[in-house]
Amino acid sequence: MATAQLTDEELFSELKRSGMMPGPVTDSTRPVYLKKLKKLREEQRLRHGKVRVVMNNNTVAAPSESEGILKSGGDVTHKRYSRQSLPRESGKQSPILGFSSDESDADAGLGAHGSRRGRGNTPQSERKPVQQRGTADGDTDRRKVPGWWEMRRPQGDSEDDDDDDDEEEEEEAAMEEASKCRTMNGSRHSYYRDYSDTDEELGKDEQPSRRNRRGSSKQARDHCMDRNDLPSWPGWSREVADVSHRHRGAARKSHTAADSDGAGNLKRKSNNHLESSYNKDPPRVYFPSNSLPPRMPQSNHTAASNHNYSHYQYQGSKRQLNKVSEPEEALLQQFKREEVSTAGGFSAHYLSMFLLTAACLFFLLLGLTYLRMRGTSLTGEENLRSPEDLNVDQSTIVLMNTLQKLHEKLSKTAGDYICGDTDRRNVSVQEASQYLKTLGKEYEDEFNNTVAWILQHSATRDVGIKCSSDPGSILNITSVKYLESTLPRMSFMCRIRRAVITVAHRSSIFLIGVGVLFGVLRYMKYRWAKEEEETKQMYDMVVKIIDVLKSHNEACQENKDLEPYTPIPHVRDSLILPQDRKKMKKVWDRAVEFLDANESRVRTETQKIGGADFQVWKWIQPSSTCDKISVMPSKVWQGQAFHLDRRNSPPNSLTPCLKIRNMFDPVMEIGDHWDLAIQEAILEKCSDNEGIVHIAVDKNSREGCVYVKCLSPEFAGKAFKALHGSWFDGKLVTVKYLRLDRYHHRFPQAFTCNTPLKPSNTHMNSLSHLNLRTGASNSQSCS
Amino acid sequence: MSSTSQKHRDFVAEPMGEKPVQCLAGIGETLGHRLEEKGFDKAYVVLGQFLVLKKDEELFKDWLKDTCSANAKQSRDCFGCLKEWCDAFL
Repeated sequence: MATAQLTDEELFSELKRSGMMPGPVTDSTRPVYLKKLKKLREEQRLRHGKVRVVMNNNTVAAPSESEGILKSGGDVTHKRYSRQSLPRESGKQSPILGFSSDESDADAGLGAHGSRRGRGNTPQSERKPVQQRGTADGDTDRRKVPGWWEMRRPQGDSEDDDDDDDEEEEEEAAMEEASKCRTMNGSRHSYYRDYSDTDEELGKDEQPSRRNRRGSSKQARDHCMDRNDLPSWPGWSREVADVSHRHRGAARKSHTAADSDGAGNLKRKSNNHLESSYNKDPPRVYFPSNSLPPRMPQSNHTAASNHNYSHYQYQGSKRQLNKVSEPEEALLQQFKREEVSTAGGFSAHYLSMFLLTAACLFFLLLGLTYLRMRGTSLTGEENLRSPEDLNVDQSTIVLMNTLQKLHEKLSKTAGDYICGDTDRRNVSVQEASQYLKTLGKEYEDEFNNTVAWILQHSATRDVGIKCSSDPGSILNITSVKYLESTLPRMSFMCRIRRAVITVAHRSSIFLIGVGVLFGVLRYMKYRWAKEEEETKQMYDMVVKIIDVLKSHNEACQENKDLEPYTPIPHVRDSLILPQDRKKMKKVWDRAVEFLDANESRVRTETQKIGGADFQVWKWIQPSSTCDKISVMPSKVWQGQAFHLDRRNSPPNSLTPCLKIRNMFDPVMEIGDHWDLAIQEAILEKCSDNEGIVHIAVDKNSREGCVYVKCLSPEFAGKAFKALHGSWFDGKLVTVKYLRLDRYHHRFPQAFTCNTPLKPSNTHMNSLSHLNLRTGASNSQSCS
Repeated sequence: MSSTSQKHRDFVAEPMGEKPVQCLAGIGETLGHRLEEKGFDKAYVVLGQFLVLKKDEELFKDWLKDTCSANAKQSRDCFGCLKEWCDAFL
């Protein structure tokens, strides 16, 4: 919503006002700029916080940014301001800034922490909306000053007017001093411009700014030698004039609705600002270089007492201010909402935790309630049941009462027993009658009847009281020895204790169960893993055994003296280290079993070796020759076919380029990188040749062509000799010279190649075969 | 910023032509994909955004962060590469 409210133009002007020079606002740049604006705002707010702290230390301060209330800000000034003063937030700057921030705080409703000066100012100005400047000035001065001003200048306390006059004098003195050591260092005026800006736009910061100036002139006197602190006034006034012009322009641009009255007001404002900024100072100091038109009269500053906020509004600019602040509000709202939403996210983060806690509490309460209800409902039910049954007959009312009393007593006893307070659950007949006797005579008399009634009814249903006698004797009215309640009544604490114990008991059982289950699972997993590992070991062992048998078989074929079988223990001992034999016995047995069952190439026999019978393995598969063929390496040089002499090679090198034929058969090649292998083979063959710069394998040629470019014809001749007439991969390689221009025509990329290529590794795989078989031919061919 | 990446050097070495957005330093597969989804399929479109933001480092990085959630290094690389390209060819 807020983004929709803030049009591109508004955003643009907002950004300008915040002190940056934005680019075009488009759909794609818009979010970036919105973010930037927000950041700027926050920065300003942050600086307010800082300044406020500084202000409490009674330093003179006045940041001018006023969090973007500066609706009609001078763009240039702001820009410079932001560039120049941003890096100087602390130190010299912040002491000089501060008052206007205070007031704008109060104005923007941010001043949770507003100082007494700000508070003092606002009500007062409301009370005296139309007030002559002098009075207001004096008044507010007196009100605002007490914290620090009086301390510094106790003599100013005596008279209001004196105060101002003194200040003026001070200012002038400061001016003179300042002019002595002043500097034209323009970049250092930024903060003066700053608060003059604030003045101009708010029209209410004029007062503090004046004081700031006082403060600063004091400072100037203090550090007269610190040139950086000293304003050059002419430069300043020029800047201010500039601001006023631009300001009007900006106002016209950004607020088209503002009528001429508003514009005039603005103009007046800027004028006011100008004169109010240095109203009491003699014009000769400020105006020499002032480009401001003369229509800005001196009287203006007495008439336009726009140094407090309410007054400013009374001057008729209220409407404009409101209008101006509308998008502002929207923007602020937008930011506020964003903040709120982040706060929402924060709370959402805790919501789950809260819900969890609430759920826990709920279930706890539920449990407790259940506990309670169970106890009460049961006893209540019982209490009800007995009277119901007994009320049938009016004459048995005493009996009923007795029964009730008896039941209460018995259930209490039973409850106590359960809770562990008493040793017995039941009450003997004697005790019961004793108890009834204490209650009254009539109860005691009814006791026997009651017991009879209980006996009579307990046969058919549960009346809440159980009678019992000694074991073995028949249960009748005379043999009843004990009375016991079937519905023990326990105290609340006791119930809770029991419930907790029960819950703990059950949960511990549950936990133990879970633990046992978990343990079983772990054990199963462990077993499975072990099993798997053993199986793997077994297969490894089988492979090893087969290897041993195979190699033994091969050895047997070569050396006929060897027995064509291998004793099993011998194989085992050769495969397994002594320390592992015990551990690996199971694996070994399984492997042997596996070999017996599943390996057709191995036969188990019993042979007599050295007089003892041994189980032996015999490899019965004839050794295949096809295996060996597949092992034959490819892409290797196999020697020289003929010696080079005048007849079959040109006597001297003609060109640096060679065309090599019969290096490969494209139909036979498989894989992706066979051409690299060929390149590699050529480079290895010519490893003593430093001049090969480019090799191209023509993958599609039927003849197996490879093109080679060398640095010079000499190198090409060397390569020619190395390659021509060699066997490579079963083919006879032939080499021809190729013209350089033809080569470049075919491989334009070779034109710039001039770094010699080297074999990628030093193993010389393609030559190993050659070295083994015909070690001499290589050196011969290279010679 | 002791040295620049190979990608950076490659990009800065020549006019960008029709290079895809992945050719920008700091923009890999993932970010490139995200940018393409938002319509920034070619490096010159990103350049356009870069120029529209007036070559401002902070703004451009912010934009890149918002658009394809690039991290600080990625956005810095991308900015540096475009900046240098502009210095060389613009």
